[in-house]
Amino acid sequence: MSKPSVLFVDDEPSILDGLRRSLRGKRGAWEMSFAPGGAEALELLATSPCDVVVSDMRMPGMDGAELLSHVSERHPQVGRVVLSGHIEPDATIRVSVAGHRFLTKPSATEDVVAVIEQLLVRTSHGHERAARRIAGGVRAIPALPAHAERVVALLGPDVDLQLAARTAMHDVGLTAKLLQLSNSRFFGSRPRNSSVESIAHSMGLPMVQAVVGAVCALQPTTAWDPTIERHLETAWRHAVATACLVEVVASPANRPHAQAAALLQDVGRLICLAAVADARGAGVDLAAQTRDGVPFRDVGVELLHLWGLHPPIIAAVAHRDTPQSPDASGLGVAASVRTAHLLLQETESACPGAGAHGEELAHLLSHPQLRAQGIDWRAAADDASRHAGQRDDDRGR
Amino acid sequence: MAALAAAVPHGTWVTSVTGDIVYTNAPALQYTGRQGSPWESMVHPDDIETVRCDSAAACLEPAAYLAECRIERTDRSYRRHSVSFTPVCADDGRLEHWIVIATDIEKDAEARRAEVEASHALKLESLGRLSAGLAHEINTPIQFVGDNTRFLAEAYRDMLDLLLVYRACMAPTTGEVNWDERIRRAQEAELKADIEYLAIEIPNAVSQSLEGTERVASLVRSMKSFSYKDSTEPAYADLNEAIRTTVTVARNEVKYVADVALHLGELPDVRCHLGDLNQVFLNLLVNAADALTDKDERGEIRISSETDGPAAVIRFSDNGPGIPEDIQQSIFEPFFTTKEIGKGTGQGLALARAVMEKHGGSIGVRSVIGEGTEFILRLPIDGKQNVSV
Repeated sequence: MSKPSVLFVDDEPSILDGLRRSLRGKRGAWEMSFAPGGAEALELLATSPCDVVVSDMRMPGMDGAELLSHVSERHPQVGRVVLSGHIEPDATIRVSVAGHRFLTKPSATEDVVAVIEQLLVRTSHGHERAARRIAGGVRAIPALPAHAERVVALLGPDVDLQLAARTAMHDVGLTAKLLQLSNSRFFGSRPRNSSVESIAHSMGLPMVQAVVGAVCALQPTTAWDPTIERHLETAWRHAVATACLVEVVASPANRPHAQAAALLQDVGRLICLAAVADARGAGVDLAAQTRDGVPFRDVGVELLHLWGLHPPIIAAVAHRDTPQSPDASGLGVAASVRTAHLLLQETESACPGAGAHGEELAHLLSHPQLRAQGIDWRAAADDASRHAGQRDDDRGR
Repeated sequence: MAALAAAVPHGTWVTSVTGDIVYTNAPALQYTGRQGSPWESMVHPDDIETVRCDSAAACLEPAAYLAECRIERTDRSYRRHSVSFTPVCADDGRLEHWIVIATDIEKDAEARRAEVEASHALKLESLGRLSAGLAHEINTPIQFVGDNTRFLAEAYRDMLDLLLVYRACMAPTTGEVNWDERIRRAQEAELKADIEYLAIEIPNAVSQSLEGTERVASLVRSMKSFSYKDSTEPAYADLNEAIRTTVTVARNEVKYVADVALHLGELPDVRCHLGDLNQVFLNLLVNAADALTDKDERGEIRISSETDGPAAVIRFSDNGPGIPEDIQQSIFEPFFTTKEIGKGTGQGLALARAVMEKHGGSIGVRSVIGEGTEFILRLPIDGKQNVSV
């Protein structure tokens, strides 16, 4: 197998020289190439494939955001990393949807290497290339029409941070985007706790609104297919209900990750089917839950991995449909999400096609952590389901 | 005398020898709202003693004197005034009246403070815009200096490994090993260390790192001299140096759109407020860069300096789209801007004109649509007073 290849783009020759030298230790592992600008980089990509692009932002002619947007369209399988000294607030909007990962200058060699190595890993087993190609081209996760209005409303003049944070934590696309950006210093200080609400608070309203604007700008312009929209509405309601319920199920330490994983559990389905509404979606098999033969779940996991979400979130999404038998010391993120998911399968917010697993659920509910709380879990699930349904009704009005 | 007093733009009174007011001009009436009472009655009680002492001394041998005291205004508030007392004597030398003129010194101080604050706010605005660019200009060399240093650390280890092999080859205890074997070991180690590569790259890494640290150092020096705090008095300064400093500080604002060509002639030091002139240079440079942003190819900004008799002449020209003739006069008015909201406050050129006028100099513009724009600054080399004579 040939070595993976990495392309570095910067208009400052000294930066390229510095990277070339400091990454010399990787010369046995990677094929490295260097381009002095966006146009040269695209030319190079057209002739020789590459696995990861690391680009500066401010460059004369084609800037980094423009380059990476082109790469996402022409070469979606390529991992996209921004390495920049400074990003102006105006450029945030374009940058936040152009790259997969964001590094600030100065960055230590170890950090650059770590990010590149992560992007060289493909999570799907058996569909590595196809899953990467489908997930890699995604720059923002669309909101369903019924939810889009609530997101767009955040751009209004009298929105406060509290409202923006609450809305983001119940929106699949914003949750994923904020978690992605929270790993980089560009977008505000890094919060200690990774709950979407605290991320939004540490970013501040102008930055959150900039991100909302970026996500809104990438909404599909064509109408959604009604069958698909109904199908996704069900999955969306299930995700919101699971996120509500898992808040009680998970231990306080696991709560932020569990909530994010619950909300993002079907993100693969969403991005695969959004493409169908976009009339680009040949290759989708609703019954088999695949696109181009790749399971929706594999696409979702690959996306969350590309976007650098925390491993416990990715693992919980990957294993939502895997029977769990947590040990007595603690439920953990994956089992918490699975428990909440299975509880909701017995309610109005059930997710079609995932089935019920009564025996496993009974076993999970007998876990010491859940028994100790003395909660009627099925009643709590009904509450969560109703709550998620009400949110839908609110939007309908 | 009343006509004369009426024409004085300050509060003016004529008092009797005993200090009763016999005449009040319009500004004084408007300011204090009273007439006919003893002049002392409008002085702050704490200051009366000082005023009295001074007047007692002056009465012995009539002579003009100055005093400072607080005077009550119509709204019952007190303001600090500088008051001049001038005796009016009859032909025989007998004291007849006092002419009292009061100048509000707080008002002057306030106006000066407002002026300082306004120029400070403008400075902050341009620094705010600069700081983002400066962060980029500093982070870039820090990145490659760090990378090069990491490389040098690795290269040092590789060289040291090689050196240890050499040493082992040369050691007397290796006596029984034949020379062919020693050469083979040394060559193998050289190959492993990739000595050819290191021989080329180490000097390059060192020189680029030094260049990077020099870049940061010169930027920091420029920032320091750019934000130079003017004293109230003008001082002689090297304007060519100031132009170079400004170009360094604003490099990141300009380098993506234009090349800057400096044609700096011999200039004697010019008596000026350097901090203010730096702002003018910065505004003209950034304006030129902004004018070139939408140009298809890279633009050019040319800055020249020369002497013309008693004046220094500095020109900023660009090959941008030019300024339409009908707005060429408006561009120096405050708040006039063609930039989008948030891009500029329209204060830059107004400030430039104010600064040039303060220096007894001038700013002019010549612009041809489609060809470019040139701003011409003229400054008296020896400062304002010498030229205004």
